[in-house]
Amino acid sequence: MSATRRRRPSEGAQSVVETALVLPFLIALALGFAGAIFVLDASSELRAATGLATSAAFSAPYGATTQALHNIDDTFQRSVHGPFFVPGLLHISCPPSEGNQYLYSASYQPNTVVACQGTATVSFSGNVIGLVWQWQVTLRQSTEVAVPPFRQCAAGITC
Amino acid sequence: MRSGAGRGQGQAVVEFALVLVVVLLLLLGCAQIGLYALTRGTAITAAERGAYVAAGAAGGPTGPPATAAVYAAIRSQLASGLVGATPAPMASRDGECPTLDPTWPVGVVYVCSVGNPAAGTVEVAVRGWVSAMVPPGFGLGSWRTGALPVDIDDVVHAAVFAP
Repeated sequence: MSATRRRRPSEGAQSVVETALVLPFLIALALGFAGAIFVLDASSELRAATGLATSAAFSAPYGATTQALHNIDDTFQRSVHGPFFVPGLLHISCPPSEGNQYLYSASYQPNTVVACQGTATVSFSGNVIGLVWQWQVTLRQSTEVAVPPFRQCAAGITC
Repeated sequence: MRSGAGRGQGQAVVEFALVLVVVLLLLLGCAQIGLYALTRGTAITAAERGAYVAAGAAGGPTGPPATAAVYAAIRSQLASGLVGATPAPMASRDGECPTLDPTWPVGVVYVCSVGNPAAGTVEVAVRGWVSAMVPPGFGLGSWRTGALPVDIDDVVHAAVFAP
């Protein structure tokens, strides 16, 4: 007796329908996986940019707070280039509430840290991943960098 | 003349082949995305490290380090972490690192570093094309068949001390 049996036409149609039902779920799963990977990738890039930007606080002389904050923001904006970041939604802040005596105190604070928080929004609209990831993802990364022991001071500031 | 059982077997083989192609494409795509993310992660951390090296040297008496110094600092990291590409140094042109070019060879990721004394910044770029198993098509900017872009560019303000 043969191990194979004859398939009826209805079985062929059934397998086509089953495939058609399962395939969209497989594709959605793959796109969901791709979106998750790219969100993690964006998070890694945001962490690197936030760290570099926080370090840029020390590129300005001590006491030149406006210049330091400009350097922080400029470094951040020019170091985030991921393909899925929403351009207008990239921000970094180093608020006084986080400490940041180095940036905002009137006297030199050598044994403190500068703490900044970078925020970015990732969107997959406009590409195939957006079929599954239909919402925007907001990422946040915080970085602290120790104040270096030797600094130059802005004019009129005593270190 | 073929029997009905033979026709049924043939149909099953054709269906299996059709599904296999789709499933393999999905599996390869998922694997490719993972490898691409690994490659980009390596490039991101290498560029970050290179930017710290460049910024740290920018205030020194010799000015910002040339591409060779930054490349030497991150080459081993890139060589061990890049999938489907090898690192190579690239000189700056007209005071800037060249932008990603579709004519560059696939499988080479270039490292470039340049300082801008007037702006007080240093730039470190890690750019190139890595080999791909499947066509990307994920909206990753300009794409080439069989290649995925790596385009990491860090511009950092660096302290410049008066001599």
